Amino acid sequence: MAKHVIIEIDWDEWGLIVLGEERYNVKLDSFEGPLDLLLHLIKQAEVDIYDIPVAKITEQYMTYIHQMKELELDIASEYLVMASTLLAIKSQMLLPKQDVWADEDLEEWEAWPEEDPREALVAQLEVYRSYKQAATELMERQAQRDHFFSKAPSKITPSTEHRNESVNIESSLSEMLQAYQKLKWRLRVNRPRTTTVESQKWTIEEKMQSIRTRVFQSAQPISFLQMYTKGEVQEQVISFMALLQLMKENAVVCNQRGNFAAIYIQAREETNNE
Amino acid sequence: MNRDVALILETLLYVSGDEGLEVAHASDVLGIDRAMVTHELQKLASEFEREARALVILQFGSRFQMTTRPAFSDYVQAYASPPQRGKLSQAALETLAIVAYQQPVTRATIEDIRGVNADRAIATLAGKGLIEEGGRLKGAGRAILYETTARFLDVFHLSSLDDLPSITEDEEAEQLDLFSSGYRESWNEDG
Repeated sequence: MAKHVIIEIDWDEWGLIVLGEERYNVKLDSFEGPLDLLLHLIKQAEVDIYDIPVAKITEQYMTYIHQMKELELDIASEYLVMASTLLAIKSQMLLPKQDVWADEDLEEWEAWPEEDPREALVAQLEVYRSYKQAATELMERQAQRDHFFSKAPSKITPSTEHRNESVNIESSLSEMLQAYQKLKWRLRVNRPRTTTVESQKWTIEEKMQSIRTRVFQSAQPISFLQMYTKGEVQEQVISFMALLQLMKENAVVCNQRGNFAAIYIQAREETNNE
Repeated sequence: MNRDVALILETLLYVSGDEGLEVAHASDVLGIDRAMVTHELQKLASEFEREARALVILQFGSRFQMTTRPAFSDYVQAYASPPQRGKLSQAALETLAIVAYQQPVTRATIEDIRGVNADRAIATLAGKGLIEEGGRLKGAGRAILYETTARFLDVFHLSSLDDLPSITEDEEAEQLDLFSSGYRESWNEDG
């Protein structure tokens, strides 16, 4: 049944995809495998990991799988294996239980209470959960580490005499990768991170206006060198660009007698056409 | 002389920067044995601590590194805005945690625990120099055994593997239960 599903995709606080259009409360993708998804469902259902309501969780799990299918996501085989495991557990739990303790005819070794079919799965979830927790703690430690700063090694060639490994030219792929990572990191560290952005003090338009005014008021040609090459470099650049613009617009004419001679700016006749 | 050793080590720590000073290397340079170097470096570290110097000396396995004091990290950041280290994905972190606690460990064990394929996570971690091949499993297939590296200790601010945050006792017992060799064999036979 081909449905038009994705219109917009939202990201929830877990960084998981939430379907906006159909308002399914199903979070897709981004799970770290079937165990992660199961833990999520168990947490959402607010039940004890040791007493999973298998029927309910299985149903939710299957909904998730169907969502994946509809979205034409690649349903990894691991998810399907887990789905069949859940269904197997569910059907096992539906079977009527023999009350072994009441049956006195049974041999002692047979009179052992039936194993909870969920046991293996719970154990697996428990182990997975503890490593997930460990992963979180590692991440926190990594964040702590960011508060210690050290400098790059001093730029001296390490003495090969004491460094047996640097004599050895053979490197494994992983060593090369590590070296590359280190290099990338180093480049990032060395790159200057701050730059000063100043607000613009002068604009070309203003400068054009001031040159125009001066030029039209003056009967004599004005020396560009004297008038507009004072002040900060930035101001000079803007003045020069303003002058070029005025020339382009045929508002002024510039004369220069020879190389390096002073430049004189003159108003052009009947150009006040703004 | 003893004082000189400390001063020389401090000098070498400064020079080696974030590469860290390898005990073996320092031992060659100074011509004193490694245990002595380690001892001197640890002494120096606690001296820095006692005197509350601006710098601290951290240990990562057999490597020592001179760094700034975290109490002043705000000032460093205000001054230099250092780049953020790339964060590891959740998959990579989980895989790394398993390698850290179970090492040496095969890819199959990692996949059993996480329930998903671990190829990419392992490649990422090896590429970042956080895990490495630490030998091969005996027997058929000779599966690669993965271990964490010295760099792992550095990145996660651990002086040694003993420093790893403990996973609670119950879980640890269960984990032992689950991954005792007997269990693993039967699991493999099933699969």
